[in-house]
Formats: sequence, C-alpha cells, structure tokens
Amino acid sequence: MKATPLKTKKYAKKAVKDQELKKALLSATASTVESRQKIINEIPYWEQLRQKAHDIKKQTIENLDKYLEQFESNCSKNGIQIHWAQNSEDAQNIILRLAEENNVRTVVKSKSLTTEEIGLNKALLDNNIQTFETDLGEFIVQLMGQIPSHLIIPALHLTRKDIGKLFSEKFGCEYTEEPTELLDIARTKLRELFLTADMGISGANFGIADTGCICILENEANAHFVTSLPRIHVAVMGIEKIIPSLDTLPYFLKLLPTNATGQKISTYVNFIGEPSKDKLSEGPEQIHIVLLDNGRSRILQEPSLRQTLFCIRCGACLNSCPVYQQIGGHAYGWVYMGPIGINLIPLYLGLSVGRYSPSLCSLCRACQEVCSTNIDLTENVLELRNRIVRTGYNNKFEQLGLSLWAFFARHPLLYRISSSMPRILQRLLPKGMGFPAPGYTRKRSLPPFDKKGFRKRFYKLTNNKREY
Amino acid sequence: MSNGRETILSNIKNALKTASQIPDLYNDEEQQLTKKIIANRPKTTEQLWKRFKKELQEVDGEFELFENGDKIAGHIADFLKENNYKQLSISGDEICQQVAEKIKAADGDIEIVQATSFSDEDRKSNLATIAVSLVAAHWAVAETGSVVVVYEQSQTSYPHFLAETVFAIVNYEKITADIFELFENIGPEQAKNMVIISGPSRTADIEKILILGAHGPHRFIVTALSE
Repeated sequence: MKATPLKTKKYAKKAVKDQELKKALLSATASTVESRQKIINEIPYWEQLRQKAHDIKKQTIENLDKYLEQFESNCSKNGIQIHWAQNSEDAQNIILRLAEENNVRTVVKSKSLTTEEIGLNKALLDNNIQTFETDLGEFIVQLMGQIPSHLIIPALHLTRKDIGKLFSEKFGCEYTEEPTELLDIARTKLRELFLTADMGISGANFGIADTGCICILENEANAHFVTSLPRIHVAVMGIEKIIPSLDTLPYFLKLLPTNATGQKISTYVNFIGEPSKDKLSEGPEQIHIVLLDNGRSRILQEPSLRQTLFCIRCGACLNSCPVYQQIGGHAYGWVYMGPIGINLIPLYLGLSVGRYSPSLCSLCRACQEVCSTNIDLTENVLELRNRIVRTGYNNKFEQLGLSLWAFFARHPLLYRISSSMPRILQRLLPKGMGFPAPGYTRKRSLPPFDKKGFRKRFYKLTNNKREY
Repeated sequence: MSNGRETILSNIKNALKTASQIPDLYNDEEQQLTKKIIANRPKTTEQLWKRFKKELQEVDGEFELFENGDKIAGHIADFLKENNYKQLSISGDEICQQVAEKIKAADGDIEIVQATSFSDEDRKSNLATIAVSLVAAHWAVAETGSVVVVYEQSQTSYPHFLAETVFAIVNYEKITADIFELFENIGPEQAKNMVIISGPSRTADIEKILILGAHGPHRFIVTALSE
C-alpha cells in the first residue's frame, strides 16, 4: 500500500525562508554545543564513555526479550503494573481504560516524546479528559497547538514576544515579554493543576531491569510533581529504553545531560520503583508502565539498522547537524527530527511515508561524532536511501538522471565526449555567463566551466602523459 | 493485554535470531575506563567538599559548612527572621527534627510543620503554602554538586519540591566523588524511591534564557554537618 508521504520538501522550503527561525536555531544550538564542549573538556574518558554506552546498549538490545521479562517481573514484585502496547492505538486504549476505571478527569503530563509519538494528548482530549503539558516549553507549544521543534527545547522556534502574546491571549493577562514574568504566569497556572490532577503521565529515560524501576531526568521539577502528586502515575516507555542494571546507569547519567543540555547532571534525577502511597502515605496509589513497541521490534529485524534503538534521545545530533540548524524541527513533519528523526521516521512510519526524510542529510557525519551511544546514523541513512530507491519510492526524474549517468559512466568514450559538451556549448552563451541550473541559479549564478576541463588539468598536474 | 505481551516478545525473539552486524567498540579487558574514572577523583574528604561547593555554586546552589546542629539552626533561624517567614516545613528525618527544635528554641514565633503529620491530601495542600523547608540529604556527590534524598528515610518527598527555598542537611562523611561511586553505595531498595538533586529548579525554555525556580525551589542551600 502506498501511503501519503510526509510533505518534507514543502516544510523544509518554508523553514528555510524563515529568518527569525534560523536566527533562533543557530543561537540555541551554538550555545548548547559550547556548554557541552566545556564539560567534555573536563572528562578525559569521554570517548571511552560513549563506546562503553554503545556496548551496553548493544548487549541490551540483543537480549531485549530477556531484559524486558526481567523488568516486568521486578516491577510486578514492586507493585508496578506493566502493560504491553503493540502500537499507538493499544497504548491509547490502555491509558483511556485506566482513566475510565479510576474516574480520571484531569491529567498532568511531563515531557515525553513517546507520548507525542502515540498522539496521546489528542486521544485524551477527544475523550473529555483535560490534559495539560507541564514542562514550560511543552506547555507553550501545547497552547500554540503545535508540536515541539526540538527534542530537548520544545519551544526553540518561538521568541519571548510570541510567548508574551500567546499568554496574553490565552489567559487574559497583561502582555509581558519578560521571561521571569512569563514563567511566573505558567508556574501559577500549573501549580494549581499539579495539586488537583487525578493522573500524572510521564515518559521514562531508562527502565532498569534488575531493579524494576524507572529513571526520569529533568530540570524544572515538573516531572517530580507529575509522578508524585496525582493518585495515579502512568509512564509510557519505548521497549528500547531498558538498561540491564543499576550499575550501568551512571554511564548514561553522565552522557545524557552533557549531550542534551550541556549540564554535568540534570537538576533532578528521579527514581520511581514502587507506589509511594503505602510506604510514605503520600503520592500515587498506582503506578502503571506502558511498554510500547510501535515498530521497534520491526527495527530489530534489521540487523544493519538495529543500532537506531540505541538512541537515548539526548538531541546532540540535532545541535550538530547543519541541516537541522537551517530548517528546525517542524520541517521534518513528525515528532522525531534531526539526524535521529530521519532514521526513525521511515522506520516507524514506513518507507512510503518517510521516503523524503533521509534526504535531509549532508552525510557530514557530525551526528555520529557527538552521539551518546556512537550510532552510525549516516551509514543508516545511506542504507535507508538505498531501500527507498529499491522499493521505487524515490523521485522518478532523479532516477532517470542517475540511470543516464550510470550508462555514460560505463562507457568511457561516451562519457568523455558528453562531459566535454557543456564546455563547448557554453561558447554560445554571453561571455562570463554560466548555465542556468534549476533552483541553484535562482539567487546566484553558476560559474562558467573551465575552458580546459578537469581531465586535461589533472593529467598535466600529475605529469601523466596519458591522453585525456 | 497478554496478547500484546506475547506478540511483542515473540517478534523480538524472532528478530534476534538474525545476528547483529554491529561491532563492539570498547575493549574493557584492562578496565581502562574504570582506572581513568578513579584517577580523576579528589583524594581527601576536604578536597571532595571543596569540589562539591564549586560545582553546586556553578549550578546556582548555595553551600555552608557547619560544625554542629546548633549552628545550622542559628543560620536557618536568622534566614527566616530576615525574610519574615513564620513557618518551616520539615521532612521525617531525625536530624531535621533535632535542628527544628533548636530553631524553635531560637525563635519561638516560628511554626515548625512536620510534613509527615498530615494525611496525603492535607499534606500537599498545606506544604504548598510554606515557603521554606528543611530536609535531610543522605549522600552528596562532589563531581556534580548533587545531593541524594532517599524518600524512605525522609518519609516524604513533598518538602523537597514544594517550598521556594530548601535547606538540605548532609553529613560531612557522606560524600562520594562521582556518580559511579555513588551507585556503589546505593542499593536497589533505595533506588526505588529517591532523587538526585543538583541546585534549584530551572528552565531555559524561553529563548534559552536561564531562569531559576521553574516549578520547584528558587533556592537550594546545602548545609554540611561536620560534627
């Protein structure tokens, strides 16, 4: 079945024209890259840390069934209920059923890409359950009716003026663009919701198999409130977020904040391993963890692409990517973006829907150099492009052009004659003028071809007497 | 939902029958990474606290070292008086109760609110109105300026997050060099309900401008007790 592809080209073209967006992207990514580098300079074993994390994730993913069963068993012993969701619909239904059974009217959420992936907010709102994002950036983006534009900084594309105008419109408060005042407005609104919400929904950065607990990193303290104040806590976790043991966690606790936000450690690292109501007489009576597949086991079937599941969603690849820096997150058309996004989109949504995503890559490999778990994202992109061509989802004109080139490349004499044609034909153009090239010459000119040509110059330079 | 479980596990098992083409990257036979981590650690407790202070201050936290509980109590009592606060919430740790009694003795106007004396609903609504709290931290981590709170020992997590200003007392001896050493001391039971805190809550979600006191405390003051 041919599904409609994401409108990647359209979104990217629109984003490239947005100068404000470009300014915000360059400033935000540059400052995170700088903070990150400052911390890395203090860690003499940084590269080994990344290699170690890669191997831990590899060992985990290659024994994923065993670790998931161990995690489930230990969580159950701790009084946490595990649910398995094959896809978004399953996950939504599980959460809606829990909400119905427990008479839930209001939900507070902490930042979770996995819940974005399954479209949870819409499902809850469609079922008349009031749902509020509580991470400041997510709260702003939700009010705007948008999706995040960065894995870690959701409202990166918005200015303080945009946010001031939004708060003034939505809350009827006096316009301000002072960040501390904007935060105070959001804090006051959300504090009340934290104290009265029936259910808290979070993601999970790590699920620890040998302990049966989850770990959530954050800076704002909203995740703590979401997981500790309402009477029910539901965590939605991709099955690849498992790590084997508590003693493997420190490697990731060093890598994730450094790479994500340029911090030595996140302000809060929350550990949740049992409902606290019985022991502390406060907090959730029930904790539920929804283990989400949604295409992940399909990725496992691809030995060459399996390493995509090593990702810990630090977002460092976005900050280092020259393409992301130009177009931002919305241009990718889905919740995952940047170098990891162009890998995940065709894998999760299918080659047909994500056929254009792997094109958003310059193959510079900057992403691999920063990746927390050393994923070879570029190699994966090449593999995905290859598959897209083989399945016939690529552009037909492009395919025709490459087929023609391949034909000439296999016939050296024809290739030599045809490659000299532009040089000869340009004599027909006014002096100093180059050929028009679609797209490229709209705002700049293509320089004329050299009169001698590359081959002649090359053989002269290398003193090769062979005929050019 | 057992069908979902069986299908997912079966899919994974089938997928893993095909060997991976991904190479291992790190050869840890000589435990070089462990050696480098250990080599990077300060050697004495004094050096560890020096590092702790520097790191905590870098993340906008505050640090004071006191000889005994009387001095901590005096310090907090002065803070409450200077800022005209009349209430102090405390966690269930014994050290907090001891220091709170001394604060009360120093200033009879201060109302000490024991978090664990309330039922859940009352606990969160009452503690949300109290601006200052006193809690115990059970470990400190020098490399990151962090403290670790094990809720089972505190019997609550609310005063650590709901107050605007949080004072955390930690024993001078309970410091580890880094996050690796910390987890050599943390058992699975403790890890079920705990938090690692590094400074006051923060956000940079508006134009990457750092603002303290996002949803949690604006100020986070660690007081080490050397006695």
